Amino acid sequence: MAQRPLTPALALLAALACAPQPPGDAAPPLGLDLYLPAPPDDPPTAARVELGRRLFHDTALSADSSLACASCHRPDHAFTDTVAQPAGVYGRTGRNAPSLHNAGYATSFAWDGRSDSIEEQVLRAIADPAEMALPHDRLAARLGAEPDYAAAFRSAFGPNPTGDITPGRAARALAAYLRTLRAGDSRADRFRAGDTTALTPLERQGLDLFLGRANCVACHGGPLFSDGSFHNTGVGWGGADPGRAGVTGRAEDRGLFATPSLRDVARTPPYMHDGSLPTLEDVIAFYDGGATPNPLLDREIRPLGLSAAERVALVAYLRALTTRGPSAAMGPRR
Amino acid sequence: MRQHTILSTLSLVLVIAACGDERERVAPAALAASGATPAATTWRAWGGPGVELSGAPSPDGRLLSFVDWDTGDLAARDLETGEARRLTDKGSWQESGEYALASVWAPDGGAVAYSWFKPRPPQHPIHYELRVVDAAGGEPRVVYSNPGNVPYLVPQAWSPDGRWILTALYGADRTIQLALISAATGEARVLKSLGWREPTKAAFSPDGRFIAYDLPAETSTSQRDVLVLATGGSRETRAVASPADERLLGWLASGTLLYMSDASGRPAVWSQAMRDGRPAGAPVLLRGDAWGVITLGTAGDRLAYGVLVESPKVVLAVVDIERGALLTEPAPLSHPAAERHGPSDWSADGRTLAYSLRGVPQQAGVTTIIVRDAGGGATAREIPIEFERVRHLRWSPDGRSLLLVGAGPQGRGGVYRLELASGRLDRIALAPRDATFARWPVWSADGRTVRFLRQQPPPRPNGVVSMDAVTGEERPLLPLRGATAFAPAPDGSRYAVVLEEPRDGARLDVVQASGGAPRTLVRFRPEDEYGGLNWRGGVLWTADGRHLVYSRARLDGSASVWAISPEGGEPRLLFEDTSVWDLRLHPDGRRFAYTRDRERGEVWVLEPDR
Repeated sequence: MAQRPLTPALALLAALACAPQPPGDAAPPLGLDLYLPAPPDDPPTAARVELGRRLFHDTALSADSSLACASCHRPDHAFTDTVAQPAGVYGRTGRNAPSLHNAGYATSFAWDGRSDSIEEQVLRAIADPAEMALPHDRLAARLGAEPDYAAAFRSAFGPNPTGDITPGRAARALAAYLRTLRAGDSRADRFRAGDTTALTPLERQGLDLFLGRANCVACHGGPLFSDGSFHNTGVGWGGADPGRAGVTGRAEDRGLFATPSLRDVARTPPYMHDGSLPTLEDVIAFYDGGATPNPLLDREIRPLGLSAAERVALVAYLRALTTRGPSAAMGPRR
Repeated sequence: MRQHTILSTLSLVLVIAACGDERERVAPAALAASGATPAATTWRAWGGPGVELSGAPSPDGRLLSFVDWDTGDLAARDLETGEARRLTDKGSWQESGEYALASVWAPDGGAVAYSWFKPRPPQHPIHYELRVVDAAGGEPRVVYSNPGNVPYLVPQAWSPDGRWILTALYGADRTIQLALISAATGEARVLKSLGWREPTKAAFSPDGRFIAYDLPAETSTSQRDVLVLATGGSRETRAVASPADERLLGWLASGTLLYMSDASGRPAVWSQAMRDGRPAGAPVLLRGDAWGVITLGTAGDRLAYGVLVESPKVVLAVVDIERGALLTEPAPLSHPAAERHGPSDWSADGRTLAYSLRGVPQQAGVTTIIVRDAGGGATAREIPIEFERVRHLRWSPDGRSLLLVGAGPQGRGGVYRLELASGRLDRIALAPRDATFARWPVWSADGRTVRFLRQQPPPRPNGVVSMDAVTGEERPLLPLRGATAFAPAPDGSRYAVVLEEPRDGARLDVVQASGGAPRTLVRFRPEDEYGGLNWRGGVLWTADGRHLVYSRARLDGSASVWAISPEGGEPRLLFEDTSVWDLRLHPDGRRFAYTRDRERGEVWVLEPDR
């Protein structure tokens, strides 16, 4: 059954209010869980969410004040970018910008899973020389120079004798905002909820392939269409990016990258961790051919032998994962 | 890793201890020696034949819902008087193949919510509905049905206000969600998606503000945690801060959680007081050495649970096929009721026997492959694998790997290969979504292909199929409609085939591999003295090709094993047993291994001392 979402901030407040609630008081977009993981004892108040929204769109968080989070995670493109590898302050980031939709449900962050929480990941992105390149010890001074930030931090977190603006508080505010970016209620969700008319026959054929012979579901299952794990598809194999191995240090993790969510996938080209595949058709053709052979290729991947019509059906189903109407997540407040 | 020898001994102790009928203060020797004081009273509420462990106690503890497998109806048994009555009335198995499965009572005891198998072929051959029926009987009401998207579901608990039925939904992508289903409208609200991890139990807190459930910490582990989730989705906490394996038993009316834990080295029942959805105080040991406990649910401050006193076992028998003489009586490999054995097979050199094993209660997604000396000696290997259910197990000709057919990782049906040296499990092929598993697989001598029986909806081919053992590519060999078992002759020239006949009949044929008219050896009817043909036993050739071995079964499941010449003649009775599944013959042509698929349980009640 389709349910209209509350405004994200209100929905989040309701979902994370401390007092236990009867079912249904915090209905998420159709297809998403009622339970949204969040740090205990850190309620995402409206002031924190609003502060996080402001920070997300503020170029002051980059070393040369040229980039905001929203520069590469564009709200009008499902919080991703339209280029293969967006430029950081000092050049290419080397990876595609992943969508931030439903980041609150994730259990690891970045293509290599380097962060275990949103708070950790936003701090990394701010300081990473390949991204925003702003050292944390400069963050307070940078934001303190902007009007009203100190008051906004005080309002969100209360007074702090050692300074109202801290990197930790900025991370908590950004995380509170990012947890409001919930996207669901696609036609595929409505079909899954029992509306048999929500998908066309072609899309249903695509769904059957997705669940069956094409074996997409081996990694893209559940409400996020992701297993939250890491797999070697051979994309970028032989290049400089070690993938998950860069985090774990284990040779067998070379070439492993996070399974991206497929929600709104039609809105987030180009694809793969390096943005090397421009279209969904390219992605299906890539997997149909058995991906890129390498010694550590995921065992689930093998040539699929799809017909041209079946490839069309799969793409049609993937397009049905698009959130109804404009993105449920809010852009900057005007 | 499971310690089978300890488990075997202590399970036997539990079974023996469970034989007393009167209330008893439980004081296992092991606990007394450790200084721990058990703090619960237990008594047997239902024993003897016909005990069934799929239901739940009514809120007053007087009734227990269960499935009456004579018809598949939902039923309730009065635990005081022993009287039972059906709550649904679907008619006989001949009239309908539908049946009830899991069930939970409404908080006022006036109704029961239950899962109901309602197949919708050809698109949805597996489909369960959530239904509600008055405790007094009457017309059931379908509360939730989502064919194609939710093929299976398990009602877990009814909210204390009677408005919601907490249900585990098993999606078409095989992931599982905990959802609240409105008892009035059927509206589904997903509380939490669990991926491919499966809870064994979920329960409401007495005030309805929280839900407790258990879940493996990770997809590939059987180690479980007990978690408490606010019904509004606002927060989740662990109920027990321990690295041990814990599983939920229930939430008592007094606000105390009951759970199993192996923190002391052995499975034991513990209680944990809860306040505002969080643990309050230290857990209390209620009962030690609680092997094989299957929770049924709580009633007030009591827990109803089941224990198995008999479970499926691999059985060995020695037979002189030529003379039709039983040389050694069938005997199970081991006895613990807390171990469920699955299919077995002898290695080609005859030196080892492999079989699958699952614990009680089942550890969702985890199966252990046991490899042991064929002469009854020590276990050589125990290999835990991410596998839901093994239907067939076959040694490769070189003895380096096992072919497994069944529901593998993420519950996906298919054909898999387990490399014994590394423990690596590789998928060879996935079963088509609407087809049966590959039945009765047989390796080629060179180990490059596997032949098996495939059944799928027409017009796609049915019959004997050859599959590449690496790529999974299939090639039809012999079309056969209605075949339920087959075996190729040792020289590959012929097949023995079991075929369905009208009115539950069956026949055993021999057909040339190249096709042509079949030769019927035996016809079977269910009403015959030894019953109909038991296709679950399979059919075998002896290595010299001079005998075919098959089994028959009566309606009560009791089975007999027979031999016949492939050229025809009189069948010879080899031996009888209470159940025979998946017959395997040792290369010496004398030793049989098979699964005795019998399960018998008892219902017990536990009440913490005040």
